[in-house]
Amino acid sequence: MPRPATADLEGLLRALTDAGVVFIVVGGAAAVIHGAPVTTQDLDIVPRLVGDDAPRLVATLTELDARFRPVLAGRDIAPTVEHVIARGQLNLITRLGPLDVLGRLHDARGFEELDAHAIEIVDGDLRVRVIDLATLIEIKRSTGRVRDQLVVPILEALRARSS
Amino acid sequence: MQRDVQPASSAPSVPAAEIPAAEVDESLLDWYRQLTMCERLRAASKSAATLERLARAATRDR
Repeated sequence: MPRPATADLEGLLRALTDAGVVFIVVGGAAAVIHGAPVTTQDLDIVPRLVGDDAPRLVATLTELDARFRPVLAGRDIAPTVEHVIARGQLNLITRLGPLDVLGRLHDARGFEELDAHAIEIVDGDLRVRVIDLATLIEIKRSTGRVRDQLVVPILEALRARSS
Repeated sequence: MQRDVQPASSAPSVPAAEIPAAEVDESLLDWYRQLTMCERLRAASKSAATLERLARAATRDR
């Protein structure tokens, strides 16, 4: 099964939402959704993990032929419910490209803490929960990574336009 | 395999002087904002795939 090096963002979002997975989009894809003309190689999501959420997510990941990345010879490992409920950072590669499932952000916030800062965006039949622009800027500022800092001025410009 | 989430406090700090000021293209922002969410997602995916192919080609050409 070929696994592309860059994500089909719309395809991954449709696969997850069609399966009933509840999640918040963060990272570069959130910047794109808010209108930032940037690129990203992967889709970052923070999933809700209550009730049957973890098995549902893993079933969807299985359908997407997800494996931990990098996939090396003799190290072709599929994610399990145990991996998901550990709430770590799962860097996966799927048949629709890279997908990062983040149990928590670098600042330890998970779905419960972030949901109050998420908004729903609808385009046709695609309905996506995405972290709001102010919180995305706060997250990007706090990671300490240069690539995140470079996006902040663009996000700030978008915020200025929307206010 | 699964990685522990790196606490923000342990992330390497980035000296402000090393961060180049991003040049925000206002006209590009205006154009991009006119796109729907799905159009933005498709544009970003196509751009990332193209950049990745160019990077691979550049590596082969070295």
